[in-house]
Amino acid sequence: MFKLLLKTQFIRIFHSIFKNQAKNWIRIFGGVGLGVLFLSGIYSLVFFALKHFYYVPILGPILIGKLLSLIFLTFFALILFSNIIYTISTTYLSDDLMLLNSLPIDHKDIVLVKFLETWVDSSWMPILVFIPILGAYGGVCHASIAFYFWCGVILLFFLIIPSAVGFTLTSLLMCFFSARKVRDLLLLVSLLAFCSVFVILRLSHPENILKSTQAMQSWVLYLQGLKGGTAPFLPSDWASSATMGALFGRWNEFKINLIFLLLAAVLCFGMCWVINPIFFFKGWCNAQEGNPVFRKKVKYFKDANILEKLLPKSFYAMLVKDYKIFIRDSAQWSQLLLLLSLVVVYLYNYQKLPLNDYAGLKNVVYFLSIGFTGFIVTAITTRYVFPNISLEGKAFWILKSSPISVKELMIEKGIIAFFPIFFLSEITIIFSAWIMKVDHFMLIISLITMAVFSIGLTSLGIGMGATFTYFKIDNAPKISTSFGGLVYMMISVTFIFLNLIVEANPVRIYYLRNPDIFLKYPWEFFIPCLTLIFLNCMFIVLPVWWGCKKLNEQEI
Amino acid sequence: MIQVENLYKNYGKIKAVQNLSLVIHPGEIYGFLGPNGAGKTTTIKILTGLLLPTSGKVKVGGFDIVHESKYAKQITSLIPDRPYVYEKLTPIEYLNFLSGIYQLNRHDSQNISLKYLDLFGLMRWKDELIEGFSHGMKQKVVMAGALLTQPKILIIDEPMVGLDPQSAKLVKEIFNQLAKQGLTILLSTHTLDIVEDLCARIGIIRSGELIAEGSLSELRTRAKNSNGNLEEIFLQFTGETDIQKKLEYLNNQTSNINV
Repeated sequence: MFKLLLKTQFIRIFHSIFKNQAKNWIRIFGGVGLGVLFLSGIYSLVFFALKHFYYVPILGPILIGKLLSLIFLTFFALILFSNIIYTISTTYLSDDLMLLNSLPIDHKDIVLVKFLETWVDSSWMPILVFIPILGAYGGVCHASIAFYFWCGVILLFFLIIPSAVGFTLTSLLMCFFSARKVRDLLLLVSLLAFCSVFVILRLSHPENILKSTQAMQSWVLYLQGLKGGTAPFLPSDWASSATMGALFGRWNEFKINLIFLLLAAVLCFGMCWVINPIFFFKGWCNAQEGNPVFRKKVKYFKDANILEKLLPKSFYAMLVKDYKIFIRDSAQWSQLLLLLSLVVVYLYNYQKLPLNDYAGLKNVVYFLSIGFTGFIVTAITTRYVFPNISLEGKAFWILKSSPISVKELMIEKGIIAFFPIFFLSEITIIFSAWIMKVDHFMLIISLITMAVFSIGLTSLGIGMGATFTYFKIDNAPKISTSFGGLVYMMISVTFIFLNLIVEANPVRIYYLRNPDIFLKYPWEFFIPCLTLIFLNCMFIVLPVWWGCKKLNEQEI
Repeated sequence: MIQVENLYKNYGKIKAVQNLSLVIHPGEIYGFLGPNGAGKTTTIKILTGLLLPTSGKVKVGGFDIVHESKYAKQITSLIPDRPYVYEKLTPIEYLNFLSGIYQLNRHDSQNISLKYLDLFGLMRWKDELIEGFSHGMKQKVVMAGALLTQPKILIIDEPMVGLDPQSAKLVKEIFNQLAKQGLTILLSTHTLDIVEDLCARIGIIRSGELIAEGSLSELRTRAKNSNGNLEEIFLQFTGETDIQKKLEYLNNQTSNINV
């Protein structure tokens, strides 16, 4: 029975990739191309960093070992958390469970297939990232072919452990709470934990290590003293030690750590195999219950009569609907915490930049910071603006069959998304300007640029979100990391780059030569201005026009 | 009220609807029947602007559904076979949303919303999230939404799926009353007694083509089956009369299978 279930899963995956629509080939090749590009980028980056570290006398091998240990530890935590979240979706909320549970199939078989599905779902991305990382390790240290083979074995054992633990933990949780509650709670807790670690790490001034000779010395001593494992009882440490053993031919270290890994993997898998079938059905029954009923009358927008009077009816209706859904769906707003902590750390970094003595450098850095702020806004729009249309989901028929035209829908969605993006980007750039104490000219340039970025990135997000629709996916993060999301991100980054490149010359002229030069040679100013107007019109109008056309043609 | 002329809809090589022409008059309840995959839902989606036709003309309330879709949609409501709604809203919030989208008077629509929620037995649940509702309850929410906008044309795809007998009877009564008040209804369903009870005219579609149309008595005459009920006539038109033979074949086959 297990084989049959597994075969069905494979057929399902095969059909979803190859038997959908002809145009999917473009997406497949585009996705593979982007993936290869991304992985090559990781490889180059890690290779460059490792080469730099590896040749530091005495410390080199220790440093790269510690780095690998940290990487494995990070992935261990990530896989554990993502498994908990994935398990809820694949094993307790998936649509096929109704059928599977009604069939004469042993729960053990269902659990095993679901475990494998969860394991594949949560592990393929870490495996893809590990390939260039371990490849770079092998490349820098001139490893033999055997190293790559052993890396595969180590990864296999390593990935089973957090997956099995996460899977079992979720099953236990599901016996006591409803599925959606567990998922929302865990999402929130994990994000809060991640944000706290991220912010605390930054606020602990790691750059001070480089400033103070005494601190540097103690750090070196600390590293030397820690030739042993960072966390000797964690599988991440066994995995990194086994990898380093295979890399440098320290076979005893390799063998003992590989045995630990193997034993832990077998133990965890066995635990998963024994415990989960016992609790699976009870957990699944619990998952059938919806969220706790909403006894309390919802009072959002109760006092927003002014807004209701000011705005057109359909606009107000859309605004209220989108706002309520956003607030009530923790999967939507919880990631905002992460992005906001990114903004905080970003601003904090500027405060710590030693630029007081260099006025020229300050302007250059601030000009570049406009681009960086743009990238942060891109991260936010990719997550919150691009999925906007797709998040209508299977309920899109309501709007499509209503008297609202696609154009009106896109304009309304765009306006609703624009204001938060605009205020966030302007506030971030104002803070940056205030921290770096730049002059008025630079402040005005940055304010205008960020306003243009906000309009451009919002219309790009709405337009491309309408072009690449994913109505069947109800998970916003999944939509933003889809092929369409990647394309959106790349075009957005190009948009920011082009704007900065065109702006750079007049700004340079202003600071290097007399500002009056613009009066003497007005084309030095007007040509870039006209180019910018043309460029931005293209990026603002074209995606919306194209998205509108595509959404009109969209058949649901 | 609804005019369809030489409608074609292709999905690649598959011809879902072929040369379909029909006219539905104001205040008429038109039964739209056909076996699975006959093209009923595709036609309904075209009539409500969810799909674009490959060719042909579709006018809803005098408005062309492709070029004047906004006006056509303003007077049309759809009740789809699967009640996908915004799960993170409460029924009353969903109805308020629709009243905004259809530009209805807020105060009036609020009263009508409550009236329909009461009618469908959803008052107890009006402030609870739709995500916890059963299929039938969601279907009732969709129906309340469709009626709230006070349409001139109501297009319904399988209205009784998931409804309990009491609600099904209520829905039948509502459709009947609304048709008497001038509402045009296109009703697609496999529940043939409802069609027999409610519909003035019936259209039968097979493989995308309209193969028979008329009142029940007209269909009986065409089928040369003066005493037959709608089920018999439907099976006659759709070529499913050899069911007995199929059952015999199935019995022979299953008796050979060892479980």
